[in-house]
Amino acid sequence: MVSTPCLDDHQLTTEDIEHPGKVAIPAARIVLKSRYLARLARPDIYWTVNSLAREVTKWTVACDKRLYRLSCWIHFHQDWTLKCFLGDNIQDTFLSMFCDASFAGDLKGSKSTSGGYLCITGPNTFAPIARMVKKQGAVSHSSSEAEIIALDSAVRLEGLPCLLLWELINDVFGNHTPHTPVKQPSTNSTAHPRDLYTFLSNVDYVPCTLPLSQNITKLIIFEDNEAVIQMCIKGRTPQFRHVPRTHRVDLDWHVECIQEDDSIFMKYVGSKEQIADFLTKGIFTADQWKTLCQLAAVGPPSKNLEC
Amino acid sequence: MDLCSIKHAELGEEWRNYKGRVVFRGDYITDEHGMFAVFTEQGASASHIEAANILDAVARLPGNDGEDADAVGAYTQLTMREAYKLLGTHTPYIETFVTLPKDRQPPSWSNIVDPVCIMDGNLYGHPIAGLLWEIHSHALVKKAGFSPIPSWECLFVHREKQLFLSIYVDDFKLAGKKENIKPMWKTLTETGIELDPPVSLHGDVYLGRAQYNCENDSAQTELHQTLVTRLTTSIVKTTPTTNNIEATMSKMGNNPQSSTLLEDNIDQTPQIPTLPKDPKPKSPPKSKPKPKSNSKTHQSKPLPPTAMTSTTYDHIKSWQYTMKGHAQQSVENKTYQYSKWSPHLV
Repeated sequence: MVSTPCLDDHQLTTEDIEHPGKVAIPAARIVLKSRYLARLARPDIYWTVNSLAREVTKWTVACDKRLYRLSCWIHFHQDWTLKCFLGDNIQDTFLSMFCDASFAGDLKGSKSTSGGYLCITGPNTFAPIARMVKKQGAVSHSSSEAEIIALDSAVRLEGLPCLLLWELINDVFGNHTPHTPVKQPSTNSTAHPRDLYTFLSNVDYVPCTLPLSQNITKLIIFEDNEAVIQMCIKGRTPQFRHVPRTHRVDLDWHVECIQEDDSIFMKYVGSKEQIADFLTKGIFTADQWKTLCQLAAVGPPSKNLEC
Repeated sequence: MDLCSIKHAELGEEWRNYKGRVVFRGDYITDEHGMFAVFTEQGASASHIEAANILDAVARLPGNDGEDADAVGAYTQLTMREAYKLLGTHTPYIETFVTLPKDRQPPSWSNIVDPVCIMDGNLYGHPIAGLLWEIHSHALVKKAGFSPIPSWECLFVHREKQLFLSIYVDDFKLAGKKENIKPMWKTLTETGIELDPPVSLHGDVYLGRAQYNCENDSAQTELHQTLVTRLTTSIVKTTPTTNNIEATMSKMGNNPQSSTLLEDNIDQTPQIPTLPKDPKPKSPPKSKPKPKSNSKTHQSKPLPPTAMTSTTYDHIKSWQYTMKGHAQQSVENKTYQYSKWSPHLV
């Protein structure tokens, strides 16, 4: 019986990382079968599967050890389920995005890993709907840099599309109460321009092809890095002027998106309650792991109801 | 070519059944000169697992329900000639001749050397069979009153009936107003989609993942109620100030009134929450400087106050996703044994 499914790079030796492994031939089949599990219902093994899936063409002893650990975990926790519950009206629910990053967790390349855990939440609701584990494309030079890149990925890939859909669902089911007054778009009054500026602004005016946000639901981003929250408040990231060149991420767009969209909110969350933590690294004590699994609503099955 | 597989091989013996399928050898299509036929890349749309998860939640909202139904025979519900019409007038219908396996050839063909026949059905294996089925099924779904959701492929909404439909190849998942679900299945069938009898989401297998309605885990519910309540009691929206000059003046002390207002409005000091078991909440870090006043914040509507959390769980619907069979397979088949072979792991 193992206490966690993961082995961090720091728990392995240099020889392990360098020497070729022995399960290299069937590795792809084994790992990708596990990846299917992880994607659909087992976020607890997502980080390990992700780190193994990157290595199928360059399998090492470290991968052997990691796979063995993962297999032991799955073997003893085959019946674990992903649980959800919902007990609110739709207007009381909102989306919560837990967003985290490791810092230089990959010893070989010193790259960080982004993690995101998106759920539908409410006073009596918790339903995980999407999760993300993604090794970053470039080396981050501080934890804040890794975190803001993770935030960008999570919001762009999962948060915004799901916000769009959840808002539509709210609208369809009759929730028309905006939490924030909706900003009115500038009217196209070319017929009677008030002044030259208005006239020039409306030259080449193209109406929005998508309906504008009605602010009837919320996406709350839970971030455990205060510096990142401050950057989003101030709208300035002077320390990260290199990021567009290294990570190829436009932070100005990202910060503006969070500031301008009235449906997106940010909130500080302590590291102990950061659910996305278990999607970014592999070093945990048994207690930490147990708590994170409970928070992510993955665990031993509950009793099924009769039909 | 005939294919045979075991459906639900990952589940228990009682769930398994043999599934036979006649497919078209899409890897060996030649033109009249014997050259390999080239098809333009025609990708079908992606069906998102997030959409399926969201629909499962929608089905549990008050007054709602959800059901799942399979299309019978899927691709073969339309002929190749009909299918080509869907591609538009600029794509002419091209007849496809196929060689049947010996055991499928009628006795009257015994005198013919290398007999071929025109393929009429839209068989699985044809490079554009998936695309043709998608165009066909989506057209019928739109005819039933659904409209596609922007940026969510394979997901449709029927605003009037308050229904959402997710399509994954031949799997149709419908969620929304309970009283409109059964009539909508009937409408979909009437438009021309042949469907198996719909089944409830409880016990349903979608994308190989089973879901069951389950008893509420009160400890889990309480944990999340506590977490959500504490984390969302003071949500802060950050927006840049509209008047930077005012902010600068207030920072310099030139406008005390403005400064006071801004300071009063600021509620950005991070609060470090604690785990539910921890009896003593930690105080916010005092060493952190207060944010500068060139930003404006506002307090949102009190989202989930403690009063809204319920202490009785009767109205809460719980469900769980399980992939026990797949988990069992992944360690029983090869993984566990392969790993045990490696002597350096012992």
